[in-house]
Amino acid sequence: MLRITADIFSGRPNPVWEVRDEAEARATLRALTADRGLLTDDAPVESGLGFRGFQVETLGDDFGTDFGIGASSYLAVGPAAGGAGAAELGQRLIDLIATSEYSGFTAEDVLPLDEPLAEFLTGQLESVTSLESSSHTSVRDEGNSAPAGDVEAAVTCTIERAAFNPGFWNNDATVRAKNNCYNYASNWRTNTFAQPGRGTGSIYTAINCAEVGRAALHDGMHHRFDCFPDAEKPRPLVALVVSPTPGFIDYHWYRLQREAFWGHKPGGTAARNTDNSGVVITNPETANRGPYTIFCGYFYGCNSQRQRIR
Amino acid sequence: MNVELDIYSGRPNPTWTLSSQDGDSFDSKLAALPAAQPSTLPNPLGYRGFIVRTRRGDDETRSVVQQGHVQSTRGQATTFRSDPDRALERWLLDTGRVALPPDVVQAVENALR
Repeated sequence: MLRITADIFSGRPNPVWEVRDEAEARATLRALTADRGLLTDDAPVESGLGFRGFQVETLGDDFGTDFGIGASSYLAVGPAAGGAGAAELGQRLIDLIATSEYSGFTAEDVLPLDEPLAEFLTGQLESVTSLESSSHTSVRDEGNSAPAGDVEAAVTCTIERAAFNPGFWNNDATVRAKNNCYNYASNWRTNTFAQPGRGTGSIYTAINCAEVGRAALHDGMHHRFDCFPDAEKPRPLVALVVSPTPGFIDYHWYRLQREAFWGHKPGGTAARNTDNSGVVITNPETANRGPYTIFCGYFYGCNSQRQRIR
Repeated sequence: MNVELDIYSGRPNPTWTLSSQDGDSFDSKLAALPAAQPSTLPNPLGYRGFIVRTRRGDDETRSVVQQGHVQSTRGQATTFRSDPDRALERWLLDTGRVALPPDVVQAVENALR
């Protein structure tokens, strides 16, 4: 009834399995077509290497019409997925291997995998989707920890970069007015114009890098390259800057977005991804920051930290 | 009638309340401003301008006075006006001289030059 091909390899043939039980096949198609946005006719052009998705083919001309699909459909997973449900559906297709009447590869004389096919595909699916929701991407943040003596240690932390979503902050006047740069950097709406340290009883006592940074650390942020565990996802990379100019003394925060630019929210004004020159911010260190001329450094937010801010 | 100096990002902005007389003056000055084409305010980091909130019963009108532009929003409707020579902006700063720290007043005066 259904032939499912895992679109995963580049050089070697892809795994394929066939579901011959009609009830099972119908239930699968029903689940696949529940969210039409997840299916395409072919693999997305920008799929790239790694686990890209599943090709699902109906084996009889009377089958797909019941569900409004053609002879072949494609379920993308990972970065090109059409929505948050793609991973779960992908795992459902993998689970069918156990009850399929045929499973193998799209060509013969193929080197065997090092583990059972379903286990292998589940692991691969998790590697492209379990750390990635439809709203944020996990990436490696590589650098050096603070030097201890003469030795710097290479460090790699995993962070999350959320998709730029200015409407969340801008579309409602109350949300826009009552959430500031620290709310935005932490990605947590409190409607309190959150201040570093206030939520944990240790608000900053001066506006300078050391004290505002200390207060943010008290809320639960870490210095960059002091990694958070996966349990603290999402872990945004943020940057703190300070304006030392008399009359303008203040702090400001930026947050790295999924699209590889930095977003920020100047006080009660709209969240944006551009600097004072109207240029998209690719580097907060070199962006036009107006009077916020002191670049304090980078920090990581985390899930427990953002829920503490007030 | 409440005035907010829109200047900070992290810290809350300073605010003060206009006297009844100043409130009437603001209404008159605002009404006398010429209409302007709809535009998007730049909203930069640093000094931006003033936000004036007027409440009459359950209605609130929020007027953003920024760099020669005035946008007044009441409900879903926004009225666009121009503020020639930033006169209304300078007048609003004058209403806040008592409430604001001297270095803040100086910083805004520098920005208005």
